[in-house]
Amino acid sequence: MARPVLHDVKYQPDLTPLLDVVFQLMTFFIMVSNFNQEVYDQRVRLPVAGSARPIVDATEDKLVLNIDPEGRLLFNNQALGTEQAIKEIRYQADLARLNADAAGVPISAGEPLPTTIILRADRETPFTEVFALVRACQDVGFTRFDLRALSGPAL
Amino acid sequence: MPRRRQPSDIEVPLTPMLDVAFQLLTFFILTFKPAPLELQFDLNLLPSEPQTQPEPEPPPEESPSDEPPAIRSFQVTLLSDPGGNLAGIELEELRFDSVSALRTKLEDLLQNPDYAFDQALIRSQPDLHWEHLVEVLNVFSELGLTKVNFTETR
Repeated sequence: MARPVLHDVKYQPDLTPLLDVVFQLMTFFIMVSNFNQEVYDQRVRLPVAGSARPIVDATEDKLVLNIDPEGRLLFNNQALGTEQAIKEIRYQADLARLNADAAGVPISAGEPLPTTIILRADRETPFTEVFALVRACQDVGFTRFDLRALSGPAL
Repeated sequence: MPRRRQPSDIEVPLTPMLDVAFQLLTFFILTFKPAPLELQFDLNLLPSEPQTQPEPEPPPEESPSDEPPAIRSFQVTLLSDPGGNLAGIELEELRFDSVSALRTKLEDLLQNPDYAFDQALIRSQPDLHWEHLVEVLNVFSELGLTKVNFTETR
């Protein structure tokens, strides 16, 4: 008995829906990726505080201070000791004043700076180390502070 | 006589695009690390030196006066053990072993209309871990006391 002749069948699956799904997944992952990892250092384990309010990232003029458990300031991929950190804070204050001058709104020496300090200190950092940097900020004119904490236990 | 166009059957090769898309997707899946939700405390700190010198006064138990209640500041001292853990909390002359005990006392004080607290000064020993100060800040924040300053004590 003769076998049926198989014709040359060209099977072409429709890849468009698959591509749509893949692009949607990619869009999701791109949007939820944290591209600010250098600023918001993941090495800093923040303390937990349930009553803090959600972050309103309205201000663009901000200076993020990541402080590790030894009290070093993690800044520009460097771990700065207290003295270096204080120098950096003074430098940032000078920059803020220069920027204000350039924008036509000069800030005199005694006036508070408009920059908000985002304080991200590790939960095990001794208070004295954090306080030294906070006081350095206050001494050069920073008055606005945002302390960062987690809503629940760290993952 | 114009030539008649034959119906074209153009096929766009989707396979290379799908390959690239899958590679990108794999990259994002492998590098995906959901960050924990961060919250913030807004603080408008006073200058370095504490400006408040609170002098504790007992609440007037008798003869309520017509004068407005004095605006006063809580002064809380956080004590630490050598390991940086919270060893005790002092609220003026009172002492507490835990943050929850402090919270209970503060709730009582804030319910008294004769007291008008609008700010708090937190004094902390140098070795205390930052998380314990944030715990106390959290209590003040929950009780609606947002004007907070802190300083170091020996």
